[in-house]
Amino acid sequence: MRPQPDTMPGSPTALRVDDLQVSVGDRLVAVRGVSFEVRPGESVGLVGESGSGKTLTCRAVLGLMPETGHVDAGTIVLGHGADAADLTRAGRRAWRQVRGIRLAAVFQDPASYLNPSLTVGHQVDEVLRVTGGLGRAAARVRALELLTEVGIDRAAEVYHQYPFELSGGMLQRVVLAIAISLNPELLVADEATTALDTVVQAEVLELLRRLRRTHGLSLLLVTHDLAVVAETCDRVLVMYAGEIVESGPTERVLGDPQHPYTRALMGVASVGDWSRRTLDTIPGQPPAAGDRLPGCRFAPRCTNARDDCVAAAIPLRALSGDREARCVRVAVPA
Amino acid sequence: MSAATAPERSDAPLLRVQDLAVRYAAPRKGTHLGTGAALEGVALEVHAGEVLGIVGETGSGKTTLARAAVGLVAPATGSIELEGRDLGALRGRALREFRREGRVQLVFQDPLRSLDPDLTVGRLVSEPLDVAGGLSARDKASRVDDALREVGLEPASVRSRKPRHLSGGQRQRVSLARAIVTRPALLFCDEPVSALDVSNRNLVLNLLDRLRRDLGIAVVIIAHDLSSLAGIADRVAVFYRSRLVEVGPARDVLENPAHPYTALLTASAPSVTRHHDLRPEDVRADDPARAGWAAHGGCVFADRCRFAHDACRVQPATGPLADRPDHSAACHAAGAWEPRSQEDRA
Repeated sequence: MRPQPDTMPGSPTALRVDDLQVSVGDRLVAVRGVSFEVRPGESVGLVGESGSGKTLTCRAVLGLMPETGHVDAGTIVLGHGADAADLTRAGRRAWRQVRGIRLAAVFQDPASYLNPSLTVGHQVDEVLRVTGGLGRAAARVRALELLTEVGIDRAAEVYHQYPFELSGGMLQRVVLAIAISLNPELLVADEATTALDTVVQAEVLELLRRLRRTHGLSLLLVTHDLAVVAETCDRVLVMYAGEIVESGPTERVLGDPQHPYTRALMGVASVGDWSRRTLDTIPGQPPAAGDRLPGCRFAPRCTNARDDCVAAAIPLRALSGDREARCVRVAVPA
Repeated sequence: MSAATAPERSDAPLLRVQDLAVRYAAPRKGTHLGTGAALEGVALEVHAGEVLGIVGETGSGKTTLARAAVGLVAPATGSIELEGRDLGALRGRALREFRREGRVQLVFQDPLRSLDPDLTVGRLVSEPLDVAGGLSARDKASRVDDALREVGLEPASVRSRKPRHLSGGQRQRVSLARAIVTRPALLFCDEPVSALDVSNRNLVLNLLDRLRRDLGIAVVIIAHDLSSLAGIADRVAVFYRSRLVEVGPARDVLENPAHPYTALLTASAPSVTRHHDLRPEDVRADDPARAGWAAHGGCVFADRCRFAHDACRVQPATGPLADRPDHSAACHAAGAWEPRSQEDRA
């Protein structure tokens, strides 16, 4: 069973993002006032189509904005209390204390994050020695422990191998070993299992669940696949055209989606029902970054849209059961 | 399998693959690269108007099969017949002629990489016709427009655009237009939707479904997303380490897998709601002691199979199941193995 996070308001957070606004290119707003929390030990899924702003949000958290991107407003705070670090104000030096140490990340293509000309062992050792301050011998012992921990059977053999000798699943395990090597508080996984085979994907998701238990790791999982969220996350944030349109505990949101976009996504997601013979699509295209729409940004594609949907901006409103939705047609508890 | 969902098909297969083996260069000593064999003992038929889904992990031979079917790699043994013609026997001019005709077309995963970025959509789609030759400029132009319309693109608005000015879904549709412009009998799509969002994914799959209905062509789709295939494929073929381990009606293969690897695949597929309660650990095992079996003629899945026994030291042939003649599997215990039950798990 998934651990139930503490849901008390004002409870400690591993990550707090407040009113984040990110623009790309020529001041085109791509992320619009995104706010969310990841509680300690919790796994949160950030889901949406390409262009929804999910990857930009995650890049902002990691301080890895693309050259054309810019954080216009908002705060991003890692940790809480005395350990809180405001990442939006962090300079180079402050980032060095955070990135890879308190905050780690894994991405879609593990091969491009490893040095092809160095052995796996060399690269795990390097992090432990340079950032972790371990000696040569201690680093080696720890590296072998880490490789074993991420489910690599012949760790001693893999230690001496080069990235090109390993499969994509093995490489993703190596990258995960490096990511958790310094016991980070938060792991950001951006489409980390998207490129993997079905069987390997299931194994890596299983590994992520185990690392959360054993390391008390908080997880921010960015994906376009609701099925991956269903298997991995306690809470889900659904993004559309730069905004969060629905959030809440995974089981409740997927079991009874409130926002029409979440419902549409459910229709196109992998349902694991092999007898289903129709493939739904979401008609229309999402608005482009920077498009100015007076009301709901999903309205042009929504079958239930009415005049009041496009009259004024729609706020994200709290629903019962720790949920929120950005839709005027959803009943709000009195 | 109910008769209602069985695809209509003509008797003679469009593509008939028999005992096919394809081998790349043997591995060098001391490296962990490859085994030399890319396909071994594969037998498969594809009929006009059907959609065949192919699943399997990286390196299992899916793409090699596609390359062999278009005559890009030569079989080491066995035969590949298209419309009764043995492709393995084609040499020199005859092979070039066959490729130019475009009776079989390949569609690739990433249209950004497979489409020339400097060519306009109009040029990209007419190129296969230029290669085939024999059409006037006017006929070519009208064939190009027909192909674009067939994939749901408005010729006038996309003809002069370049790939980078199109969305991912549109680009993949251009790849499809380029593939169907030669009026192929068989379309081999190698991971056609893996680079797309779920919504665009279904759009392209529905389009493929329509193409086979409108044009009566056979479509082979290589994919790793089982639920996409479940929604479109009539039959599914499962590859594992260069062998075809199971093939049969899509729903039957996915709901009642006969090979333990297929069961592992379906149990591993992520889903929003759990319709199947089989979990990966119920069919998976890891027995390094059996790792050497495959190299000595044993079952390729033996080292990861929970149900492997002494008989599995010999690779079983892919044969029809006793109770389901349209469904074949390469497993000594096909249909007889029992996954670990819920009670055992607890």
